Amino acid sequence: MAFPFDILHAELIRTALESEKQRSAAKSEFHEVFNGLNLEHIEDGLIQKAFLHTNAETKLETIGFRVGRSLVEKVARDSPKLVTELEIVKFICKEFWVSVFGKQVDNLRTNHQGVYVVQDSRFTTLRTFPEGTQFIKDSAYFLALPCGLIRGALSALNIRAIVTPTVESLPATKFHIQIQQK
Amino acid sequence: MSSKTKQNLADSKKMSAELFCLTYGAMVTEMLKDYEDPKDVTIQLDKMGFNMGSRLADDFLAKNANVPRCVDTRQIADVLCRNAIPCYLGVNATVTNWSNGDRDFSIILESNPLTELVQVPPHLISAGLSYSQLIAGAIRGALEAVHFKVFASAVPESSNSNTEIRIRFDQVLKDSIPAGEDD
Repeated sequence: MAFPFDILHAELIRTALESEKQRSAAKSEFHEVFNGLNLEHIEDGLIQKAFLHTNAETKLETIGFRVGRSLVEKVARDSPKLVTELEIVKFICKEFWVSVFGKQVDNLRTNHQGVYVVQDSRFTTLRTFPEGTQFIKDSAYFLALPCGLIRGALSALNIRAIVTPTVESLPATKFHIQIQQK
Repeated sequence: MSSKTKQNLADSKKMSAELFCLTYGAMVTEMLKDYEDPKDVTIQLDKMGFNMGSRLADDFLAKNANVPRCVDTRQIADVLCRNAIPCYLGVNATVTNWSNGDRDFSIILESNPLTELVQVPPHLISAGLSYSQLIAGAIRGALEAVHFKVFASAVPESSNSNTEIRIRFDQVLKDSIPAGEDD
């Protein structure tokens, strides 16, 4: 038995991209209407759509953040108390990664000043991509939600961080976790 | 190639059901913010389900080579309940409420993994949000991929925990050959 998460994720990305397209269409339509100052003809919801300040990646990241926050509660339930920052990041890379992405990370490096680099040589959501550099641009959408997941998990464990992915050659991914000092 | 594919499949199995359900929940929440009318969200969920279903049909047939060709609705319902739903949702399902000369039937999910971790506010349900419409859409999409046109809708959550999906069989789609390619 397997939940078709991949397919749901692909659908999510498709809808997010679609709504982004709608937003930019609404924006240009609004400009047209506004320049004509034909205010009676503004369609319902046009203004709201035109001024929505989210693009597809942000949206996916927000969803991931929410999910990460609640997922980590389940994963961390039986674990001993995590004290230091390094312990928390290690926990994310081991237990959280295994239960969410199905495998451990391959490498974790830090400069001991709040920057961690997590390396995963075969990242789950990029598994369906062919190897190589051809689709790196498209892969960004497939990493937005996982980034949110990690950020959400860290935030539930009391660490504020910025998580950014870099891909040099699919499906290997590096996540840069930059801790924000409180 | 083959050994790699096997490994990949094993990976996706390990990803938790919770991830799926929570992601779905968060997605519905986002959509409720985006669309003002919960009815639009239901429509959107149905559409997403349809797209997922047509891809799942391929996946399902690839994994279950021994599934026979269905000739009537009873057989369709049987395959859905015995193979497809347990395979992708991990729950058992039963068929009931046959009517309209075997054209209409209901699938009852014993427990619904999608709603296990959420509580849908009653005012949204009465405003037309059907939270499990994704499953109905997926069934519609999967059957359309094998040339059965059906209408499927999730019956609004009743007091008991079972989720009912009402399916009406419409027609068998004929292969349509693109114009100019017939011989």
